[in-house]
Amino acid sequence: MSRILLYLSPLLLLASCVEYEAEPFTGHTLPRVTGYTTGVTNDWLYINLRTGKTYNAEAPNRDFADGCQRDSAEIALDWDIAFCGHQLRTNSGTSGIGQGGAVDLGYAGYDTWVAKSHVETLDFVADNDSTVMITMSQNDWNKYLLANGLDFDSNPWFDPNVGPRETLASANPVLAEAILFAAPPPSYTLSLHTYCVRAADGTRFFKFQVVSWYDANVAIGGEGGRICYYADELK
Amino acid sequence: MMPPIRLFAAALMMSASVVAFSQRQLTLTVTEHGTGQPIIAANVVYTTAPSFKKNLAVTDVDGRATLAITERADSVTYSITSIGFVPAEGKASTRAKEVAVEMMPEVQNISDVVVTGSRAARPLKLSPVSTQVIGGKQLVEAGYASLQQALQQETPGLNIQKVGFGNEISMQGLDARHVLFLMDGERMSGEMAGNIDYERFNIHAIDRVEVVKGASSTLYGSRASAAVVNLISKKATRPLDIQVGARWSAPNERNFPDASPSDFNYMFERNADRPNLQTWFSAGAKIGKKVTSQTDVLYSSSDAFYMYQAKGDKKVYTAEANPWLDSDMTVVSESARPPTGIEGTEYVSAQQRFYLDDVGGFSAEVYGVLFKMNAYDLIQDMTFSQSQVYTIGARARYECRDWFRIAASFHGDFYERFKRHERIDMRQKVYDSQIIQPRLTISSDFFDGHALILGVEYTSDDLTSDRFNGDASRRMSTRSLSETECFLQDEWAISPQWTLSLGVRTNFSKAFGFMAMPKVAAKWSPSEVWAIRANYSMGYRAPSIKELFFNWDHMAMFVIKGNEYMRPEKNNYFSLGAEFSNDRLFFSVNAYANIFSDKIEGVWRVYDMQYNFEYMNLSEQKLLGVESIAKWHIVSPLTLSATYSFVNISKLDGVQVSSTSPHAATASLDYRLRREKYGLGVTLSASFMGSKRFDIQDRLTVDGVSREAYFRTDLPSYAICNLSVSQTFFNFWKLSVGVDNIFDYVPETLGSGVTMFNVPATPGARGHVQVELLVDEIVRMAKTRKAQK
Repeated sequence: MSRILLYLSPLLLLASCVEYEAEPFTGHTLPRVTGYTTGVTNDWLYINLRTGKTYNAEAPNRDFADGCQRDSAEIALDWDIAFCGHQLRTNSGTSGIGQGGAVDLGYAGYDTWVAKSHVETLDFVADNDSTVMITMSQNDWNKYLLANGLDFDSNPWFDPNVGPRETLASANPVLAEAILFAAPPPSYTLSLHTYCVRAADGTRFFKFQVVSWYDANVAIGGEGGRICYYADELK
Repeated sequence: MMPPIRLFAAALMMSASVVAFSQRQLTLTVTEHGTGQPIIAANVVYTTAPSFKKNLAVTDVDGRATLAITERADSVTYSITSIGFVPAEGKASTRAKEVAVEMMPEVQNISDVVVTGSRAARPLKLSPVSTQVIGGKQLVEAGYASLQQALQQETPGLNIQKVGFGNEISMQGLDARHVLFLMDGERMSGEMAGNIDYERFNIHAIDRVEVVKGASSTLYGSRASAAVVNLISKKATRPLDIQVGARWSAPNERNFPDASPSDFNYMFERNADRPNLQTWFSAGAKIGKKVTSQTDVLYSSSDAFYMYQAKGDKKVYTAEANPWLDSDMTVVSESARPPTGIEGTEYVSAQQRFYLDDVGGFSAEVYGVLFKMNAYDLIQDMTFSQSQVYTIGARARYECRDWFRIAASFHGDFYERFKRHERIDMRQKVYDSQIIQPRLTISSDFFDGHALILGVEYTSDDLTSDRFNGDASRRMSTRSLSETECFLQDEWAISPQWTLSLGVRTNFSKAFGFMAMPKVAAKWSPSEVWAIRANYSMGYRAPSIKELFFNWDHMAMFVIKGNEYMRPEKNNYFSLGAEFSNDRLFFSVNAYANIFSDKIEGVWRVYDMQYNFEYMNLSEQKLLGVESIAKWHIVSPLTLSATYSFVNISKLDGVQVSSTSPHAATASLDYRLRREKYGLGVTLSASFMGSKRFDIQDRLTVDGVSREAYFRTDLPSYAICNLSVSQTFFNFWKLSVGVDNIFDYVPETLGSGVTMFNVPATPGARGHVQVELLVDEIVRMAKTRKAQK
C-alpha cells in the first residue's frame, strides 16, 4: 500500500501546485480607475506620451472637464492618449485638434516593432463621435430619466440581457478593439493587439498595447479598471 | 427390532457411503466466451435436486470452482452469476470430474442487481421501481472520456451542458436542482444552481450507474423530484487487479501559442492552453479472505476554448408572450456577439476504500476521497477558481438473523472553493459547503414475500459564502439547514407475476415543519419476457440555502436575492411503463406525468431602480413525457442501442420558461469481437437534440414606453456523432483511437441575451488516443514464463 501511495503522490501534487513564473511587469499602470464606476460618464484621464504628464490623474475632471481637451489652447496639444473605462481617445478628429490617430499592427508582436519608419506611412484612423459607446454612470442615467420625465423602475440602468446603459462618445474606433466588454456576466477581454498611436504633434509615434484590465497587484476580488499597458516610442 | 450389533453395522456402512459421496468433487471452469479468459469470483449455486439444500462456490483466479457432491445423485444443476456477464445455467453428470462453462458478456445489463430504488440489492428484473442500469465497464469500453459524456449518451432525456463556468444539467425538462446525484447512495456538496462538480466522478472507478426517474426514488429525499442518479463504486473481485491508462485528445483551441514569461497574463495563457490529457490508476486487492482494498486515482486536464457567433443577436417578441403587442416584433442587433469562453479544467481525484466482508454476519466499509480542481475560465480577471473536496465515511451492516439486518452509516462531504491570483501567490476562500449525514436502517424479510426497510437519516447542510450580505463587503457568513427524514418501505412479492412496493418518506425541519410523501409502485410480469410497471409518488424539494438566503450585489449591476418565505415545491409523479427483454432484445417505454405545485423559479424584477433576480414559488407546472430505451443484440458481435425522450412542458400565461427541447435521442452501434488473444471494439454513437423554442424575460421600449417583455429564442436541432475503435492485445493492453464530433458540428448561433447555456459546447471534431494496461496480468504472465523457464 505504501508503494501505491508513493506512486500517487506525484499525481496529487500535479493539481495542487501552481507555478508563478511570470516576469515582473515593466509597463505603465493607470493611476486610478476611470469611467462610469466613478459616478461620471465622461471621466477621461489624459496622458502626454511624449512627456509622461497626466491630466485628471487624481479624480474625474479635476484638472479640466470634458471638452476642454479640445477647446483649451493651453492643453489642446499637451496630450496624446486618454482613457475612460475601456475606451480610448487619441488627440485627433472629434476628440482633439492634434494630428494624432491610431492604427492596428496586429496580434501580439509588441517587441518586433522598433522603427518609426515601419509605421509613419500607415493609415492612421482619427477619432469620431459616431462609433464608440461608453457606459453611462448611474447618476447620469438618472439625470437623463428626470430630464425626460421617464419612470425609474421601467427604465433600469442595468438590463441583464444587454448590460448597463451606454451612450455615444468621441473616441478612437481602432483603439476601441483593444478591450472588449461583454455582459452578462460582465467581462473585459483584451485583444492583445499592438497598436501605433501618433502623437498630437503628428511627428512622433508610440507603439501601444493594453495587457490587463487589472493592475498587477490587484487584490483578489478587487476592482478592475486600473489598466496596465505598454507604450514605447518608435524612433 | 434390529439387534444392536446389526444396527451398528448398518450405521457404519451408511456413514462410510456418505464419506464416500462427500469425497466426490466436480471442478467447474468458467471462462469468458471468445477470449477464453477465466472469470474470477463468479458465484456458482448448485444442487443435486430441487428439494435439497443449495450450495455456493466461488471461482478462483483460474476461474475454477470446486463443487462438493454430498448426496447420491446422477447429476448436479448449477447456476453461475458474475457482474457484467449473462447468467449461465446447466446440468452436469456427477461422474464427470471437470466441466467447462463459457459465459457471454452482458450487453443489456438486465441481469444486474440494483439498490437505488429500494436500498436493497435485488435483481433489476424483479424491481418494481423502473431503474436504468449502465455498466461502468461498458462505458469505458465505448470510449467515453468522462461520465458526463457517457450519461448524456446512455440516458434518455439527460443533457449535461458545459457552459462558460461549470456545467448545467437537465433531465425530463427539469434543471439540476431536481436531479439528485449520489455516490454510493450519499449526497455531495458544492452545488452551483443545483449543479455539483461532475468532474468528481471518475469513470474508471465506477462499477455501474443506476438511474431512477421521477420522484419514484423518494427513499433518497429532497431534490429527487426529476431523478436519482446513483453511482456505485467499483470493488475488486480478483485477488489483485491493477489497471493504468492514459488518454490524449487533440487541443480544443490554441489561444496563446506563443505564451512567454514576459507576458503579463502568462499564467492565464498557459492555463488556458493546458493539454487535453487524462491518466488514471486503479488498484484493487483482496487482503486475506475478508478484506478488500480499492484505490482509484484520476488526473485530467483540458484546454479552454471560445465559441463564436458571426451574426448579431436576434430577438423575436411574440404577441403570444406579450399580449400588449399587436403583432410579433423582431429586433436584430447590429453588432456581433463577443465569443463565449468555455473553461478548461485540471483536476485530480483520489479515493481509497476498504471493505470487510461478512465476519460472523458483520460487514463494513470505510472510505475517503480527495478531489482538487482548478477551473481556468477565459475571463481575464487575474484569478482562477480552485476547489477542493474531502469526503469521508463509514458503513456497517450486521445480519442479526437470516431475516433481520441493521445498518448504520456516517457520511461527510466538505467542499471549499477559492479564488487564486494569477500573478501573486495568494488565494482567498469564497465558498465553503459541507454535508454531514448519519443514517440508520433496519430491514427484514421475516414475513414471507415481504422485504421491509425502515430508516432514519439526519442531514446537516452548511454553506459559507460572501454572497449573503447584499453588499460588496465580501464578508463571509454561514447559513445552515438541517432535516430529519424517515422512510418506511415494503416490497411485497405477491406472486411470481406481481410485486408491489409501498412506501412513505417523512421530512421534518424547523424551517418547513413536517411533511409526508407516499409512494406506490407495482410490477406485473405476465410472462418471463414482459414486465409492466406503474408508479405513483409524491416528491418534494425544500428550497436550497441559496434560494432562501442569497443576497448578492453583482458589481452594482443587479442583485440576486433569496426568499426566506418560500415554501418547498411539491410534485406528483405518475408513470406507466412496459418492458420486454429476451436474449437478443431489450425494449422499454415509459410514459409519465410530473405535476408541480409551488415550483421555485428565479424571476427578474425591477424595483429600487435596478434589476433584482429573485426566487419565488410560481404556480403549477405540468410535464408530460415518454421515454424509451432499446438494445438489440442483432448478431453475436453487433448491438444496436437507442434512447428517445419526449417531454411537453406547460406554458405559464403563454410564456415558455423551460429551455428543454421536446425531443432528444441517442443511438449507438457497437461491434465487439472477442478472440483468445485479440479483441476488437467499434462504437459509433450519435446524440440528437431537437430544436428549442423558449421565452426569455426582457424589457422592450415601444413608442417611448418601456415594458416588461419576453423574447422568443429559437435554437436549431443538432446531432453530434462519435466514433471509437479499440483493440485489446493478449488480454492485458488496449489501444483505442477515436474522433468526437466526427462531422465537425459547430453551432452557428449562441442564442441571444442570457441563453448562452443552451447550445452544445463543442469545438468541433477532435481525435483522441487511449492506452490501458492490466498491470497485474502482465506480472502474472511474467511470473508464469519465469516458472516455465
